[in-house]
Amino acid sequence: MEVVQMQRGLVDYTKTLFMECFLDAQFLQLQQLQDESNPDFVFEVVSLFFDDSEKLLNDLSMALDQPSVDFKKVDAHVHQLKGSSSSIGAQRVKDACVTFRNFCEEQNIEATLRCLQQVKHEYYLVKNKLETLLRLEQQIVAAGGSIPMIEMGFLKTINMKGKHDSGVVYTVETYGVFCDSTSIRSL
Amino acid sequence: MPNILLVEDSKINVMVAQSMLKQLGHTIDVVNNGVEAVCAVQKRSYDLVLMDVCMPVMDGLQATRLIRSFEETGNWDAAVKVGIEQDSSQPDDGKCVVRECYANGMDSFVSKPVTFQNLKECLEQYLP
Repeated sequence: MEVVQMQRGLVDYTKTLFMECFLDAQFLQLQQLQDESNPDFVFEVVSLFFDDSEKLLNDLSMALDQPSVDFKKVDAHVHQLKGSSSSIGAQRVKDACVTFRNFCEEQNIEATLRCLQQVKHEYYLVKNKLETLLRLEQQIVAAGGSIPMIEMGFLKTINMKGKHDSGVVYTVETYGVFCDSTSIRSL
Repeated sequence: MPNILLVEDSKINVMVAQSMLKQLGHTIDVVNNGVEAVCAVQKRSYDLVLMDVCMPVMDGLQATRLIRSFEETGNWDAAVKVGIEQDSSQPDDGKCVVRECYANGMDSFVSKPVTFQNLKECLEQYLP
C-alpha cells in the first residue's frame, strides 16, 4: 500500500475516533508535543496510561469486592483514573469516571459496581482504538512516511445539559471537534 | 532562566506538563507531593510553582499555606508565585475549589487537563 494511502487511512481513522467521542481535543495536545526531539511521545504517554489504568482498575475491583467497601478509597482511585484519562483525551473513560464518582458520593454499592463495569468497558474500547492508531502510525513510519497531523477546521462549543440522579440539572461546556479539512505535513 | 517547580503526583500529567514546558523553552524541577514541595522551595528559590490541588501525603492547599506562612516569617525570598491545577469538569465543584485556592494563598489556577495554550498564558502572566 502506498504511504499516501496509509496516511489518509490513518487520518480517517483518527477522525472517527473524535466523532465517536473516544478521543477529545486533549489528544491533539499530545500529538503536538511529538517532534524530532520527542519522536515517541504519544506512544510513551499512551503506554503509561495503559499501565496506570490497568492497575487502577484492578485496585477498584478489589476495593469494591470488600465486605465493607471503603468508598473514600474507591473515589480516590476513580479520581486518579479520571485525571489520567482526561490528560490523554480519553473522553468516554473520563465521562464514565465522572458518573462513577457521583455514585461513590452516594455510597451506592450496586451503582458503583455497574460504573466499574462501564469504565472497564470504555477503557478496553479506547485501548483497542489507540493500539490500532499507534500500529497504523508505526506502519507509516516503517514505510518511510511521516505521521500526518489533523488540522481542525474549527472547534465548536457545545453546552450539554446533564442530569444528576438527584434531579439536579447541570450544564457542562464542552467542545465538538469537527475535521473539515485535513492536511498532511511532515514532522 | 526562571526556575519552575511542578508539584504533581500523576506520572502521566508530569510527562505532559514537562513536555509542554519544554516546548515553551523551560526545564523544570518535579516533585510528587506537598511535603516534597515544601522541602524543594526551602532548598531553591522558584519563580513559579505549579501545584496540583489533590495529592497524597500533603495536598496542594496545605502545602501552599505552609509555603506562604514561611514567606511571611521572612525565612526566604518570597519570589514564589503559586499557580495550581485543579479539576473543573464539575461546574459547582470547580467554583468551590477555586475559592479555596485563592483563600489558601494561590495566585492563580490552571484547570485540568492542562493545555499548551493555558500554560503559555500562565507563564506569560507570571514570568514576563
